[in-house]
Amino acid sequence: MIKFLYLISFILILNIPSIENVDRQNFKTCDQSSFCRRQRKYKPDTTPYEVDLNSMKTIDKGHLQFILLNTLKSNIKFQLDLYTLEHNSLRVKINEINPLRKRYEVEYVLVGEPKLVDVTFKKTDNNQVEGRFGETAKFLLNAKPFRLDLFTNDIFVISVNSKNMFNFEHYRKKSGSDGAETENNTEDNEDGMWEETFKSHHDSKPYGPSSIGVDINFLNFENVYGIPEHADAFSLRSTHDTDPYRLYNLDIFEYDIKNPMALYGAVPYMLAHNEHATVGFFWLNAAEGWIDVLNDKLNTKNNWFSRQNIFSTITNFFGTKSNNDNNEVPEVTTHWMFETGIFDGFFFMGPTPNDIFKQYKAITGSTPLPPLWAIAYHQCRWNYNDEDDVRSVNNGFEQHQIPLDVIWLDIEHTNGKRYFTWDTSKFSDPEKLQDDLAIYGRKMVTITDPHIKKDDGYHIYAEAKSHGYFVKTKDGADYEGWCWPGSSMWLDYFNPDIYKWYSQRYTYDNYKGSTPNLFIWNDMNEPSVFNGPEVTFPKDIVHYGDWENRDVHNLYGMLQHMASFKGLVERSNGHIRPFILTRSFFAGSQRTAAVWTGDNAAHWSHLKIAVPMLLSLSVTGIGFIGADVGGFFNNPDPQLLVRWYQAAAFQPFYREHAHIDTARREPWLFGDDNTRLIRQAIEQRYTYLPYWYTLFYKQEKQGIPPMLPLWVNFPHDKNTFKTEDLFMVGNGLLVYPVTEADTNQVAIYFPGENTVWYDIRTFTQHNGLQTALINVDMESIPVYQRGGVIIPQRLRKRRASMLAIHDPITLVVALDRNHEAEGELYMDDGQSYDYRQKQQFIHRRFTFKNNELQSISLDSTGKFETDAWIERVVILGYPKNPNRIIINSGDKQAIPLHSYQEATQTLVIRRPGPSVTANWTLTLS
Amino acid sequence: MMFLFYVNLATILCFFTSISNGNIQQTVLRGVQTSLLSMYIPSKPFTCLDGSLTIPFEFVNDDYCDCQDGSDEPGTSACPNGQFFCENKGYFGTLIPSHFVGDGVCDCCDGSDEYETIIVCNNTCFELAQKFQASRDAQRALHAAGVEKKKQILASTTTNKFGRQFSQKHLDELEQDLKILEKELKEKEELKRQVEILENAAKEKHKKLCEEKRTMQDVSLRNNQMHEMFADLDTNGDSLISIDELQKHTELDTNQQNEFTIEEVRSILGSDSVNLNEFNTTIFDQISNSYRQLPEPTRPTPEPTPLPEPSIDSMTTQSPSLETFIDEEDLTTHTRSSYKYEDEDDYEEDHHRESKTLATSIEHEKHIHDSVAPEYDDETKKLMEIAEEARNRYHEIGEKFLSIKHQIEDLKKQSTVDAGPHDEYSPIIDQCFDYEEREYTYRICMFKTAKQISKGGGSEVIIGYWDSWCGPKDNKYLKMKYSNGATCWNGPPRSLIVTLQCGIEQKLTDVREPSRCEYTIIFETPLACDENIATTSLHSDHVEF
Repeated sequence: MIKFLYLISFILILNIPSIENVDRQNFKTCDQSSFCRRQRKYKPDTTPYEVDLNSMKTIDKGHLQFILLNTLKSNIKFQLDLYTLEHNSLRVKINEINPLRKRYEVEYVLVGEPKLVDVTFKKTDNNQVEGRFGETAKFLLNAKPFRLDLFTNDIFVISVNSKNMFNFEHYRKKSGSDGAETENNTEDNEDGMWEETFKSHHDSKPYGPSSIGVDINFLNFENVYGIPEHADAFSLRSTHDTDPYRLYNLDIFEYDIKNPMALYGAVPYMLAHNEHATVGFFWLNAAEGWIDVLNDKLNTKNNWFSRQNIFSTITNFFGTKSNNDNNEVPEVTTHWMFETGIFDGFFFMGPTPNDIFKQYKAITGSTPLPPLWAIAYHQCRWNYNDEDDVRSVNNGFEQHQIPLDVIWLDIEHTNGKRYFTWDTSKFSDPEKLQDDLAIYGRKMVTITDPHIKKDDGYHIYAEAKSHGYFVKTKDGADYEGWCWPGSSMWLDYFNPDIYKWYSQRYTYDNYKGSTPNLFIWNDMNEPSVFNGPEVTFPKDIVHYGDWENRDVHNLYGMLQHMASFKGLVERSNGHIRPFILTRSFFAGSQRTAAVWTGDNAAHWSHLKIAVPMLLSLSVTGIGFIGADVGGFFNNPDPQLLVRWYQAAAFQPFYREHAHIDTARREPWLFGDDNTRLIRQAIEQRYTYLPYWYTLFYKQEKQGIPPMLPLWVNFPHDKNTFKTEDLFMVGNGLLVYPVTEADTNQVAIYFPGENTVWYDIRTFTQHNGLQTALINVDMESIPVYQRGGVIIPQRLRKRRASMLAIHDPITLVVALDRNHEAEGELYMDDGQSYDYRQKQQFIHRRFTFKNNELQSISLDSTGKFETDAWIERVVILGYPKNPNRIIINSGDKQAIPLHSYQEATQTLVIRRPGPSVTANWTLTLS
Repeated sequence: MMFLFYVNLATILCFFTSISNGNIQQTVLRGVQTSLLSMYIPSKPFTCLDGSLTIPFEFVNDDYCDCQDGSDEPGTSACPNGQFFCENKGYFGTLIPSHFVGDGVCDCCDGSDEYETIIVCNNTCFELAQKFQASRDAQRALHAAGVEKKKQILASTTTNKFGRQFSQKHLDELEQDLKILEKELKEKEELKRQVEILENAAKEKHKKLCEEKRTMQDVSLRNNQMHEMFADLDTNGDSLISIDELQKHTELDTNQQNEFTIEEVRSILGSDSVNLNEFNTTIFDQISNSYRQLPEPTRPTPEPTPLPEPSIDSMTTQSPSLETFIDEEDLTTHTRSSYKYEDEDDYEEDHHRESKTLATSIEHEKHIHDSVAPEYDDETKKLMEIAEEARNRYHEIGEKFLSIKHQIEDLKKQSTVDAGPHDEYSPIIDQCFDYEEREYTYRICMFKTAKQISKGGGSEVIIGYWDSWCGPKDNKYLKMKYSNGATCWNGPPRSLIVTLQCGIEQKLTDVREPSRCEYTIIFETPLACDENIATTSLHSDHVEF
């Protein structure tokens, strides 16, 4: 019980009074964040910013440079750089020329220097430069007033500063101080510019105001998405009567849903989609940010457009829409505000959803193929108390025949929250424990949080302290705060030496008790500081390179998990793929970590909100994601728990997790019926693992996340643009998680013209563009396979995924209206980098056309030895019982047996038999 | 997804995968339970054991799942719901799930489940059999020894006259006693009431006398003071008090800021001078409190004793009373209340009220005593003695009554406790056992309470009151549940599950907290030892392997 008292004392320190909801008093509103207050009210009638076209320089092919002026402050000059990039993308940078203090440009995010492509540009008149680049993209840079318009396929899609909200606060000296600017602007001394206090926390703001605001307007779009992390709708809601969406990595205790408050991670990337185009805007900035979203109608008759020469462009485009006489087009106006840094905007011009994924991947990278076991089922709890406990949980899964791949250990496994150590009274032989789990093909994950207990007897602390590895206060002392272990300090990963040193903590020598079967979880890395302002670092603490936390805040968590990833790669000499789970993240986190939605709660509403939260992460590149099954806080009733298991079986990261105050909730604790239902859900996850694994491979290669909003596959179906109760897994499965109690019937919208959907359990068919009422019971997970898609499955059961990698495959061929289908299968050893280094993989394509099912190699460079064979082919929507089926592979031929069920038009071919690695053709006649 | 296949045996050409070589019989019948071998006849079509489908025998163990119940693939992993029989020669034959077959994990001790994988399984059946034998022997020995001990315990329990076997008789006796006591208590109460009437009347009379006397004393005291003050003020001895005589007494100036003016003095006197009579009626009471240089009164007014500053001493002398309070609270709310019988309240309440009124009246008398020093006359003293005696007798009987009452309750509770199928746990009813852990001592008083006692000297926390037996359906008496303990912060009420285990010594071991504030512990006791296990016949050994 001591530990609980200990927790209580923290809670008391935090003064968190309520157990039900977040205490919003602990977190700033826009009005309490002085730069947001200033920027949000900045709405001049005309913009004072102008581009000096005469200053135009061609730095490189694809790189134009201009001078941008604030006409109200003529001595302040800005440099405007336009870079036309490969994949239909444009980068725009705006920075101060010779600022008083160098402004922070974000590191660690870009995968490399983006590749430039040639731009064809011309001055259309004295006030405008037009540039064409990529396959379909065009920009128009308007000099006076400063405005940038973007087109894809000559369709006007994005306009920058058309609402005059571009506002760049240059660094300045405090008036009254020596050599201060003579401009006597009262605005320079507005409250909060030079220091501010929130609750009892004082921010010294030694460099004064430095924020940037800009309006980015999406023309003819009604829906924008992304800018995670918020517990809110997928199609972003208008913020006209709320705070703006906030991007500031914070540990929000018991977060509320349906609001724009900041959460654990941030990706300043927004997408817009309509039936014609998908576009994106990414502002590479790691400071605190706020984004207003306003859904508007743009009146093309009476606004500035009509005064501009480009009006014809709009009318041309909108003219294609018949009877649009009122001259109103929808527009989403967004207002972006960051506290510091530079403007570094990437515009992705699509035009298709898959183009967008490729374009964003080219800039920030994609999630590399995880180990197979990492996409299987994980069992976690704060805490599995000791070795016996872990073994009994493992035995429980054995005894109840529930597949399991990973058991997790939360903070209590350590010696007093000293990470990289073990509480030896509970875990006397962790290596043996991991070895014993490994017999079952199972792994273990332990937690390593970024706070380092202040204790000279703790080797990590002592070494870091002696080297000066901790983050510093503005006065140069080691910053000290409170977290789980009590008084703690934080490593400054921004220093390359520290980053490297930290990654080396993961070697088997340094991390005693770790084995090759141990992987890592980085929590509390926003970072969470119990006694800090808004439960995190003060903004004026100092990182390597003399940057304030204000400049780099949202990168901190990512740097930790990047260093952890590097550590795990290197401990295996680059041979084994790591697995890292992180709570905090930033753009680029996808390259090294899986992300979960943090400390949710056991409420139906939290089960429901998981879908939009995960979709928002997915479309912004973070694809390996999940929410705690059952809800972290509180106790789910059995029905909620079962439904959560069912929903998460079709979400990328599948982990049950629970708070220390909750009752035990291992799958077998809720009676035989519920045990069976949970077992079924987990088994179903395992049957689809070959498909999931193929999707994750696709994500690595193409940046397409495995969990998708409907509009990615049905970009022209307007009914799907706001959908967040349904989602797709790849292009083949439509999933409707039941997220309400005592549900007997659900209304499911089946998207897609001429599309047929097959219930994966009953093979019942549903037509696209229709909403159907579907009866459900507790057994039901409404999931549908799309006609036209072939999905590989493993219908055999195993206790862990790694024990199944050579098991045979069943192909489920769902025919479309033309009796055609296609699909892919990717396979490798499930854990090593041999697929990259030695091309040890297979990547097959299956096509069904003209009564022939064919398997060919998609990538002939790959070779992978496996006993896996095709044990069954199921063809859905096959119109009649075929007379004869022949399979040919090389010079071999066989006539497999089959059965046919007329009622559901289902044909099952028994033991076709070829190896999954072979080319073959199966002919029906 | 089970369909009837269109079977044309002539066209079965499956050359892509081959059934592994070896003894055909062994391969074909691999994984079949001995008892079901008769269902698998290679010369006949095979009917799934659930009767759902009949298939050619070639489909049995051909690594493809045809039967819904998985019965056609006893020897492969093809059916997700099938079962594989490990022969395990030298040990027990066991059934394992089909998906354990060929998964690289050695599940059968003879390794027969991993016939196709590259891993090598050592045959551990012999070792297992030895281990099993050893552990069974040990169990048998333990239970045998434990059963002996159990018999002793039970025997010694039966000789105890307070044991449960005699409890009914004892209970009857006690209830008889209680009835007598109750009657006696009522008599004593009546007696007490009667003598208290006399006592009160006498006291009342005495009180009245005292008061009259005191009033008279007060009047004469005032009169003396008034005369003295008048004489003191009348400095010129003209039997009148004049303005200038009074003006000397500046302490009488209510407005201390300025001088004691003639006007102010006159407003006190009401005229330029007053005689003794006027002084007595209008002036004396006005000034007597402020007046100084008053000669010593005949009866000195006591100096007001200054209030003592709150000191460390006084704080510490207070704290034990606080603790006493907590202890009492603990005792009454946690221990007593659970045993409290409703009809007992009467006495307890009376008792409580009685002592309270007594206390106040004593206080009052004391006060009177202090100020007037009353002496009771002999008659009253006598009456009071008689009344005191009656009260003491009443309380004496009351205590006895309560004590018997509690004994009866405990006995009743004991007799309602389910102490096992053969009442074998009756010897430990109300017995307490301790388990020492790093931070806490866990104390379980069987069928009563479980407590967690902080070793650091903190408080005791109740982690549960006896609730029920909660073992599995077929073995209810395996586990005891203590529930509804003190509620955890942000959590449930504490509770404890005690698992009973055969052991020679009675002791608690292995306390755990699998969920927050839900504890488990093991209780080893000979009372849990099983004669059946102790006497398992040796000849069954051969049959089982």
